[in-house]
Amino acid sequence: MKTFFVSFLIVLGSTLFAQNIERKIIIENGNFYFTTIDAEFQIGTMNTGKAAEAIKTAKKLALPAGRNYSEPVNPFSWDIVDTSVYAINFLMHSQNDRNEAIKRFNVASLKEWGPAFTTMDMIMKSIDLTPYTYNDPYLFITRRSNVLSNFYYDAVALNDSSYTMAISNNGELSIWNYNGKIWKHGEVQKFHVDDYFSLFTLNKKTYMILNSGVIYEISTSGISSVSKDCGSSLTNGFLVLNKDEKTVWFMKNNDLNQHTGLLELVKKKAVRIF
Amino acid sequence: MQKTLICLIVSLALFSSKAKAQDFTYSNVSLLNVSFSGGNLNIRKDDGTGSYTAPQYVAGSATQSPVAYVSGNAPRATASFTIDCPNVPDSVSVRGVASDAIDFASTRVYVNPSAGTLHNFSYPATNGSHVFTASIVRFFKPFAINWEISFNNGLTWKPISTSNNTVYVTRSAPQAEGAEYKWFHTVFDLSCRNAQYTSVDTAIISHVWNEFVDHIVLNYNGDSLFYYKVMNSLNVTLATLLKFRDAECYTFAQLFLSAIKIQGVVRTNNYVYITPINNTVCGHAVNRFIVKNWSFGTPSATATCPAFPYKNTYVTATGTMPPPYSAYVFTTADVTDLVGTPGSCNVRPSSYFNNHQIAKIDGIYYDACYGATFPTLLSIKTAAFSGWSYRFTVGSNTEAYFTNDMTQSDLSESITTY
Repeated sequence: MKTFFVSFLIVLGSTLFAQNIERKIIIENGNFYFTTIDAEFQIGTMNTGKAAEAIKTAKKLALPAGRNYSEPVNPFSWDIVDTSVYAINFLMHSQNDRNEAIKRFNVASLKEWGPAFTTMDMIMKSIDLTPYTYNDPYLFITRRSNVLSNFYYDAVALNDSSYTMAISNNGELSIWNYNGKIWKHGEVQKFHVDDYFSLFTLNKKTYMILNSGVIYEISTSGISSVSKDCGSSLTNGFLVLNKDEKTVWFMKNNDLNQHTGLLELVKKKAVRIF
Repeated sequence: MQKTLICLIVSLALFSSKAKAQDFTYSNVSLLNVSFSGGNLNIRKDDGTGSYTAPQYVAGSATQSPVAYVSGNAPRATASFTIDCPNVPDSVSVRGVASDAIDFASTRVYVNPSAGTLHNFSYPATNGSHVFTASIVRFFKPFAINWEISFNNGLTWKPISTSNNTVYVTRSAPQAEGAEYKWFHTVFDLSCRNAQYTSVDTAIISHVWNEFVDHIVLNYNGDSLFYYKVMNSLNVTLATLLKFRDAECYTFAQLFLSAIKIQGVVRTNNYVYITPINNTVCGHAVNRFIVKNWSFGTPSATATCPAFPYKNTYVTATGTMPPPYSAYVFTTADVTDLVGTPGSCNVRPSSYFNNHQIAKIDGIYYDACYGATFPTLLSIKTAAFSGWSYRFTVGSNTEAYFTNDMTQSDLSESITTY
């Protein structure tokens, strides 16, 4: 068994950048953060380093959260605000409770992958980690319909008292906000979504970018279109959210160069949205 | 001397009349390999290292590669041979007589002369004499082709060698691969092995299901596929079940459904995720169930929660199943796990869950882990469960509360299409 885990860690370390970046890179306080998910064991890794440096220099921190690879694929939902990491732990495990999937932990508590702990340790830790809040949006939509079709979600935090989730199923979309105490949601809207979408925040507003690249401003009050478009399908790349400069970019996967400083790379290759 | 003699005999045979055909063996003619083509399906290796490629048969190899076709198609094969002889004819005739009364027609082929004694010749890609009967599942283990050679233009034939490959014939074109559902070797094998000679959807489904009812689920190689051999198994995908031959409940439902999809059977809303309805008891959401059998001792938490009076505790960091992951280990326990409902290749699998995955086809719930079917969602809890539970963390410990009163909760289901 030990041999298996040591082998796993070696493989994990050598293949991380072969994995997709989940939704986005966040630049905050001069550091970059992005997450990857191991395709076999579903567990997440937080990759972090200095924003001026190349992403190949990233430290690989074990996340007590992950996501499944069920179809249709919904990428890992995560965010980081100051020192808090928010994550929706939707990995498949017979003890993982989707209603308890929303987690929050301090980025400083994350440790680099190493022989001291195993994938199994992290999965079990993710399961037993006390939820940040109960996943009321998921419970709501599954009680509304027990058939999941075009089921997608993403969530972002504006600050410690504002966590917003958009969740779609069966041609309906609802926007939820957790204020640190209770959830509130807007009217359930007929809104067809046929692939995953991503949320991001900018200047205290929350935006939803559809897989087609079309962008909406969202809140529990409603959804309104903005005249912005990333010009590509989300599937082709990832967002770069520079919270230090308050800019939002889209970079294609093919343009990701692991040897160029990230800030320089973004300016050279990414398309600015905001 | 012996080779010279054989070649002399060969030469005599070539230039003799029909009446002078000789009855001798051609041990110096060897089959090298056989390749199948003609629309055969891609088959992925269970170990995740890619797909099988031609040539599917290689003489002397310990294992041979499988081949798959959709029914209504004829197998198409090519073969390579050598003949060890100082002098060889310009051409010989080659044919194959295969399983299912399929013939690969006699074809005159040229021998490539070499400077030495070893010469090559090839049987060209040729369709079998008839198609695999349309809309019928077939399973050939092996699909044998007896290769024969004639030096007198087909007047007399002598055996060369037999190539053996497993050949799967699906009823219809398999459903397209997805992120999880792949055309793995065992998916073909399990499906065609069980659904041999069937045609209609319902027969295919019921025959494939037979693989699961005796709790012995085998891969293409006859190896057991275990349900929680390691009680804390991390494997939750079809790929990892087949690679590691040990996995969680997700995977057996996926394997069952994959074995149906590979035959082109279409059923939507077929994959069911069941979990407690999340009702609140004593201030906590009920989010666990225990599968038979568990023993309920003396309740120690009646005062804390009369509805869930049985209490177990465990160290959160190590969980309920610390290494070596072979049994539940509690710090204190009113409720203990017993040998109960067996799972695939395991008489005592894990049984303390938040959720479980099963298949649902034509209104019937198929639990492939346990080889059991259920007519309704409601019937699952009464037939399969010992009780309900909720748990929460206090400091470094987790407290889990139990009841064996099955009216205290129910199951909810989320349905997707696998």
